[in-house]
Amino acid sequence: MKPIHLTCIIDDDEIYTFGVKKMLESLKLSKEIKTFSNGLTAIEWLKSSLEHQDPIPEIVLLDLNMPIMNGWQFIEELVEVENPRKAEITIYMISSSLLEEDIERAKQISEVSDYIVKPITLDQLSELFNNQ
Amino acid sequence: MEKHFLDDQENLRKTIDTIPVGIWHWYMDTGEEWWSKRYYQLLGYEEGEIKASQKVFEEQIIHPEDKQRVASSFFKEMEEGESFRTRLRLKMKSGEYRWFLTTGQKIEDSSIGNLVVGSLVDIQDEVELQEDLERSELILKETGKIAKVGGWEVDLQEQRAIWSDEVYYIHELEPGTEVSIDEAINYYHPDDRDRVREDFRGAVEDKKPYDNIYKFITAKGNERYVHGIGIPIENENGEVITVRGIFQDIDERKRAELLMEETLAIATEQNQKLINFAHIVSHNLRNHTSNLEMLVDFALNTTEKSDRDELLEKIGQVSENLSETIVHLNEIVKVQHTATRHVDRIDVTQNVMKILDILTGDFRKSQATCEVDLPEGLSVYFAPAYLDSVLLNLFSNAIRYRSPKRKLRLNIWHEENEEYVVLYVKDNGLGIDLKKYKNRIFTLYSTFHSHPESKGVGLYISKNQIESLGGKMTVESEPDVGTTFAIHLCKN
Repeated sequence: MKPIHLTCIIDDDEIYTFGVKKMLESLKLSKEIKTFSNGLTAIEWLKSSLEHQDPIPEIVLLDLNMPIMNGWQFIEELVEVENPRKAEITIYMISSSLLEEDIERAKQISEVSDYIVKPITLDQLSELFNNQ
Repeated sequence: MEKHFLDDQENLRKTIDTIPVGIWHWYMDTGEEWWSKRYYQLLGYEEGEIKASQKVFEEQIIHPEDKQRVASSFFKEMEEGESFRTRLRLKMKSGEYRWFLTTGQKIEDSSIGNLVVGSLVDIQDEVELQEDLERSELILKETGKIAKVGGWEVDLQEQRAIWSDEVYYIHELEPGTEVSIDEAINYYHPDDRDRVREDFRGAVEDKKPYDNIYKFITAKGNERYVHGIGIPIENENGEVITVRGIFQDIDERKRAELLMEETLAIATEQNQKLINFAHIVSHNLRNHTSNLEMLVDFALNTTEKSDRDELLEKIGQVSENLSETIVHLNEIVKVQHTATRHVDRIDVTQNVMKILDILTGDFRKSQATCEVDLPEGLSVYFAPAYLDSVLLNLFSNAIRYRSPKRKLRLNIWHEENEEYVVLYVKDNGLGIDLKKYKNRIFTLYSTFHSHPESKGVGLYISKNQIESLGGKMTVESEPDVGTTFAIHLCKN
């Protein structure tokens, strides 16, 4: 299995980010990993990367509840962006929210490929990346 | 005509007997009586079956309860030479009593002496009808009183309104007071007058009945809810000539209903708060436990000492976060469930000055200025500990989220209305885009600035503290201009 080029983790929880990064490294699933602690810094970087033909992530692991800009708002902003390269990005929502309405809402959004409840396991991660 | 039929005495008697009226004579000199054939028949007897006499009348015919009244009235009128007329109960041959009307007139010095000539008419049916009517009226009136419902009628040709007594009572007016149609409409609450006019117009012009609830102000200035029904009545040409209706005081019912709605809203809100809280608890605890699970899993699968040390440090971090979360949740539970909060009359101005004093160091460090425009002795009814906590939170927020472009300037002033003292706290700091975040500013774990001390707990707790004591907290803000918080504190 070939590792993907770039993975993006958007989450305000440092420990979780540390853990996922460690798992991705141990499975050699991604050559590069970028982390953001909220949606705003992430969307700003992503918009600029799309615009400037810089590398964009094939996979985004997006948290729901974050300060400043949460996961829903991140998606809303991304939907507004018009750029054909957007299609290369697969977004997974990863949250500890078990609320039915959150899960349903995520399913309604075509940009979101799946909703995964934390904690995410090694097996789940490798499955996500193998589907790529 | 030469000769008249009635000239003959026998003919006259026959004619009299065809009238359904009994005739009686009472000869004052002898005490003798004469009763006509019809008189006997009215009492159920054959002519002459019993002796016509004062004694028989008093002992067998007249109702014992009427005897005294009739006799005294009769003799009084006779003495004064007036005609006599009264209602009385007489016993039939069958033994039952019926109501009769009797009249009498004294005739003096006739060919056969002084006598009284009288008549007797059966009025049992009329009396029964009248009794029924009175009974129905009484029932209607009593029912109306209990149900606080009355009837009304507007005669459109005469432009005149007729109200039942109960309608007057609901207006708190003396029954019978003259009220014009315009005056009647002015008893409704200003908010509802147009609606009443429109409903009434619809009944008159479009023949449309109506059935509505209105706010109403009585003659004594009391506000009530009333239920009004109006029905157009048409004449044979299909024109509306009268509007008739019902008017009911439903104040108690309506107010109970409103209170119930309010209570339900409170319960629903409380429920929503509980659900949110449960969600927050589960969400925040899950975050930490899933992190712990993950870290422990890593630790078990590594043999490197340096890796283990790093993981152990992270586990320590998670455990700290977990404690902090539990402290936050504890604080929230305390606010929401302290039934016996120590509530007292407190001086807002003094408390504001006290908290500013505590923060003097921070104000000086950031070169902030603060302008307080509050009168002395501004008092509210609130929990002192909560007010301190709310003020401390707002002032610290102002310092924490000041703009790097300008020195912080804090303005504190107040407004007052019947119910609340409204305390305003305005800063010229970073501000919040309320269009984007309007639903989130007071929710738990919502932060808007990437400040290391942002936890998203303070405003949530402040708002809960204020609301738990009947107050309100609102906010206005513009990014890069500043934020104004308005705290509504109950005066009583």
